[in-house]
Amino acid sequence: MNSFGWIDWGIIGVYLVGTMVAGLAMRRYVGKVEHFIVAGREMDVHLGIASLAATEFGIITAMYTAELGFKNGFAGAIPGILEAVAMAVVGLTGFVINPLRNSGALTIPELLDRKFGMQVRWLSGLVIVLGGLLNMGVFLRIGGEFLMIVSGIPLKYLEITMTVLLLVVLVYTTLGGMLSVLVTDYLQFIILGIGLVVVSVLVAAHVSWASLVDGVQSRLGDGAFNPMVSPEMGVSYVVWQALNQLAVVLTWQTVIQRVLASRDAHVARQVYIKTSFFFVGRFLIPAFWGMAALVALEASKMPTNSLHAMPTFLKTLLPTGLIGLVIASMLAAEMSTDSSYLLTWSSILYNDIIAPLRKKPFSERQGLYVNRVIILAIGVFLLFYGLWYQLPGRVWDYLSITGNIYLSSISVLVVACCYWKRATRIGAVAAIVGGALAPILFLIAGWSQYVAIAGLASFGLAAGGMIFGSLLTPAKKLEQKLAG
Amino acid sequence: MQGSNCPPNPEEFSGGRGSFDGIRLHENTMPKQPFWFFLTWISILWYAYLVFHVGWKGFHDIRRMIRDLESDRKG
Repeated sequence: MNSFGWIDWGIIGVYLVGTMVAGLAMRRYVGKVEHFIVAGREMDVHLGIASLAATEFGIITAMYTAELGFKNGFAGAIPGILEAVAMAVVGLTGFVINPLRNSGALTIPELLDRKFGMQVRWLSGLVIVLGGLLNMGVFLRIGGEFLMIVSGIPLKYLEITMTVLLLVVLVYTTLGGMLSVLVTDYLQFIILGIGLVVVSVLVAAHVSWASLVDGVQSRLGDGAFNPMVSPEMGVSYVVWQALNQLAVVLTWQTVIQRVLASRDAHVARQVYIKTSFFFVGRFLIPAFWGMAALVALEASKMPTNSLHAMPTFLKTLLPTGLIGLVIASMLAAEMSTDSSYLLTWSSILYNDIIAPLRKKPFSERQGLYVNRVIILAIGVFLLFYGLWYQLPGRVWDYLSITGNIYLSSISVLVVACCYWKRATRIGAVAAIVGGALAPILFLIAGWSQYVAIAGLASFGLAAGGMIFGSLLTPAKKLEQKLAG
Repeated sequence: MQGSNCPPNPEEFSGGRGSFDGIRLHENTMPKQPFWFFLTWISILWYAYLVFHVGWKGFHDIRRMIRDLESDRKG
């Protein structure tokens, strides 16, 4: 079925040129660091929805959620349902995001600085960047694997293809910052959405619902429909995921950057409420494709790596013309994610790690220059770490637990910063150390069967560190010390 | 969840137990795993709606943002 024709190349070419032109056109409006990092806080609701949705859906998302569907059936979509609920609740209540947006801070560590002091700002910035970059490190390779498999291009061209793609992203992100990211995210959201709907309808036409359910039931059992009885999930996994998804909604910097770029707190809350249900589909739609691959793919074509099952299935399914649309939509997914992540981690590096070390603040011109250099440096890091270096072991376990190092502690810090007057700097440091302890021990010991326990322990130790560290520190004495 | 969502097995309702047309009708019209069926299709339809709705409104947001940035630049 697969024949990658000139129509497909044409669709991809039009998409790439359109993105580049739109991204570069925004360059002229970047005059200040605030334009570069938070788009001059000019973002409205619908642009925010498009940007948040496009950013949080990369090829890596499609790949690991499809793998979850392939291995765990419908139960694999449970993190998405939990994330949607968390986002809707936070949007409706304004929990954390109201005070965060009203503070006028550019980043989360900047907000923490006001409550806990410069050391905590610097330390939290370091943890966020470390966790973020290690997560992002594997995006390019896995994205490249999808593109190579679906297009039929030999895997030996993966590195060069993804290097060119990264260069395109780097050009418009470096020059236009968040303004370029917002406009290109918008275009990418449209292309991505069309691709996801078209592929889903095609999959549904190819594999009937009854045969999908029967096939998943016979291969995976009752756990495919209920995460509580799934042998790879269970109650502790679901509770851990619930905490993790709440932490993502409250502190994941690419999500929070949309809160900070909003015109006001009301717009930020509207973006959360109206985007929340998107996250159900973010997990469930690719999981649906993964399950279809499990049921419909012939045994002779089934790849040994479960991550490759979904793209292998799509390759057999898609006709000429649609391959181009799907690849363009997945390129859109990849580019919107990469550009936002590049900007996010560079803004933390600039705003919370480098700038605080200087006695004399950067001028606007110097600030823009430093931000652009940092983005290029992260691009170089990604090329060598994520693309040319082969990660050993399972990627998903590595990603989730490294993310937990920062999610647990920073979410506790942000909540305490906004709502607990008694919270102190010692408590904040104890939370950062406590939150990192369990995941790091887990990584060193390699107890893969205890991933949920390690994740829960991370949240418990972070919260315990904050509570006991703060209560054991005399608040008055500390304030005097800080004032002195 | 699996047990509660499964349509009744026709064999359980056959043979000397009277008419179960209502149950059979339910079995014929309701898809298997209705919770997951509706959630999957609502997600797909929601995406289709978002593409048009956010696509249209987002375009106006971009125009407004550029207009404000332009006036900032001139002012």
